[in-house]
Amino acid sequence: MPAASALSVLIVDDQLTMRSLVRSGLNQIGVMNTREAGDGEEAVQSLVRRPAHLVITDYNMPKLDGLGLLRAIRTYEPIRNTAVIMLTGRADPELVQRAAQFGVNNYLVKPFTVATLRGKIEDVFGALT
Amino acid sequence: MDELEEIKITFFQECDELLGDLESGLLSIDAGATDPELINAVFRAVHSIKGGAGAFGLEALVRYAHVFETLLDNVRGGKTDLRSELVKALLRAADVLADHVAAAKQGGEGDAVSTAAMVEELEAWISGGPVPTAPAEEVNIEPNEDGIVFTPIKLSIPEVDEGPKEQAWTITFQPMDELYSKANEAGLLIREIERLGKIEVELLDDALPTFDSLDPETAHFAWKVRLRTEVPEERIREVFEFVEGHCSTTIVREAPAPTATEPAAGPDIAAIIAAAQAGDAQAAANSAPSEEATAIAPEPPAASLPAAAVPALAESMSSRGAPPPAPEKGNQATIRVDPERIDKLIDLVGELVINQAMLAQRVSGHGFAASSDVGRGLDELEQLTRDIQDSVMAIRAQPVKSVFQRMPRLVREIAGQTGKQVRLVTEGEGTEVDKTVIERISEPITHMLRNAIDHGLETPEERIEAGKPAEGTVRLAALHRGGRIVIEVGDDGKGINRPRVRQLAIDRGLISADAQLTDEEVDNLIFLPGFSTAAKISDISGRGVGMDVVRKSVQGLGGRISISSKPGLGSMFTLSLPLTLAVLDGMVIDVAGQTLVVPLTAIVESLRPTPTEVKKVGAQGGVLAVRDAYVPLVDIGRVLGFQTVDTNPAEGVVLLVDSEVGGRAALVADSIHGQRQVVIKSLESNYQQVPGIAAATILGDGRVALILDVDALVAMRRRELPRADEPFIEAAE
Repeated sequence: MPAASALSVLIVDDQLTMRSLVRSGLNQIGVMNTREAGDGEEAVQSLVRRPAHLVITDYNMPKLDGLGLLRAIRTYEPIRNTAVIMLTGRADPELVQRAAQFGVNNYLVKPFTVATLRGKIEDVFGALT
Repeated sequence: MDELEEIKITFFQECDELLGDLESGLLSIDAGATDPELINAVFRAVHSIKGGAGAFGLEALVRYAHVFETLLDNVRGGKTDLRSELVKALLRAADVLADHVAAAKQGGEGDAVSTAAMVEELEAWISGGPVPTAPAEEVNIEPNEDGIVFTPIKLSIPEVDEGPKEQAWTITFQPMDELYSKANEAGLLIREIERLGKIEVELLDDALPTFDSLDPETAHFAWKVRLRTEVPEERIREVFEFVEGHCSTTIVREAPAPTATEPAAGPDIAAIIAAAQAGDAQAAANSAPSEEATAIAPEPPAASLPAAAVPALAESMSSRGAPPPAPEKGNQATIRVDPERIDKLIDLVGELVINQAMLAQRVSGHGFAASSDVGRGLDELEQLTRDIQDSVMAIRAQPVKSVFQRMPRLVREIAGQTGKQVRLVTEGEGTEVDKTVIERISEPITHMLRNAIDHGLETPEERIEAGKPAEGTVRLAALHRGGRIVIEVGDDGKGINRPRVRQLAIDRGLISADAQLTDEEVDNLIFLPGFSTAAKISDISGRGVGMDVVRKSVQGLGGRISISSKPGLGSMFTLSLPLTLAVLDGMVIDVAGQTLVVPLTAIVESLRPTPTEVKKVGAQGGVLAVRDAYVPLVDIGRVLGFQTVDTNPAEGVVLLVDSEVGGRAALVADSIHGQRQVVIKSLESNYQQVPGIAAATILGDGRVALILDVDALVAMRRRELPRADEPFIEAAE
């Protein structure tokens, strides 16, 4: 059972509001090691410099969107084992299917509760302590 | 404050930015831009507002944004053609969205009637059947089963922590002579390093020559510092940033902790992204991690990355033509600070300015020459104080963009109401001004724009008849000029109808029928109280606010407003404001035993008149011959009631000032002390408004001095004269 405090998470969204909401949610479930990026490109750069266990990313972003980020992560060997949870604005089966094709670990529909966030992470890593 | 409430404040701040992006994007599209990324950005703006609104349960906002977003999504996908009428509808939809956001900010909901109308219009544009109204789960904070078939891919992470973070470093540095000659010191550097962690310092004195051959001006020592710290290498390097080139430094990490995956060479972000996009879907899918290939390596310490990687990244980014990573988006690039803290800082800096002035005065009172050590030290202190003040002011400086970007909407509305066709051109949006000024210039600009469109521009028919394009242009510009910010609102309309303005002014008893006025003076009559050129008070300009009120509010900011006009070609309002409302450059003068401050910006020149240049007119009052013109004299002491008899200008000093009302005037004072920077202390908030006085300040010797309101002073002098226009000049001639 992984400890929430051991998880390092990169939050990717072009909106500070959404990043703050995700960060606040993560903090509430004990994940304190978070950092943020404003778009896909920034996220790839950040990951290459310092890997993370989990990337929670928005889909719709300037420069490189969430799918592009996901594909970049899965293509580049040193970071390809990073877990990715995609945030989507609505329950969009098509988007989720495309993301699944590229190996997304899970998805999360906005708006979400802290419990849902926790559930989506636990789906990937197992129950958090 | 509740964390969620804080995020909500962030949300509304971001909404303002997003609404600005939305509008400027739509305006660019309206102007003919076809960049698909522009449509994407517009879509994203609405999408992000909706997303945030959902998180805070702002249901009305979510529902409206959803319809808007759906239409934009259709446009993006090519399902709906982007015609000009559609862009206009989208602009109006953006206005309604802004209303919704504003209402939500106040805890309410947007106007249901205008929303319903707009939704109907948007739905009409959305092709392919009726719009699905926002599904329940979108506004529901508790998302239900979303009906997507998906199996999460499991990963495991090691339960151990990320390993020891603390690293040991060996820092060796050998200062060169220059380091000391630049007034740096090895001890300071060591102390800086000590702040980063635990240190052991060793002095390397091998290079120390024998006493006989010792040159005290030469650097001989080197130091070896062992540092145990968690901070990354950059932080250690920062210590030596300021002595670069004056010190040979090596920083070596000791016995690197074993790390797992470590990029072999500086990875190329652009290449990674390109490879990902080139790789076909199948390949990508195959490379998805399965449950067997799972364990994620602990994070290698940041410092273990080859140093070359970072510059390589930068290069690869720029060689791809992509802009460098936007610093403002980075979470560490900006900090949000409670404005009250900055205000407090400004207050303190104000006190510092006063204190510095006091100190200077006392020091010179004790007979220290300016060239003495103390004098020079004071000079430096003054320079530093000014620098601090500028820096603090810069924190509060904001681009006028935030005000300007609200104007296109206003222009659209006025154009719609007046049936005129208007194109708004803005310039100098990046011009920075103090926050307090920003907050208060929106209203005068609004009025100037209303006036320019309502009174300045002609109807399309009139314009075509006059040989102009049907669409009028209104230009809104901001620029810095001589320590002030100047805002110009110009139009290419018909210009001011001078005979009519003049007649109206006579009818209203504002000027006498035989007054001799220059064109410029006629134009500026519109600022007189009770003046309105509109034959019937229109909805737009005549909201009970005339240009006189505008001028009053501008003066309240220490600013000036004027208008110039060319018949048939257009008019231009010019608004000039101080960059800050906290300090002012002033001339300190003595009047009837009182010390007063005249704002430097009002003063044209100061002079000592000879008796022959002073002409008495009537019992009290007179004019001063300045080169070829006669300028009315204003005795400050008498107008303010300090004395009952005028000072003889030939025995005192005269300050030529430009006033908005009376044109040029000559203020009579007893003597001038000199120029000084003063901190403005509001008189209204500490005492009450006093006619002719703008504010107060504290001087270097601790005394309170009043800051003159030059315009008001000249106006007061004019009022005490018999009712005739420009009696001075007529009498003098």
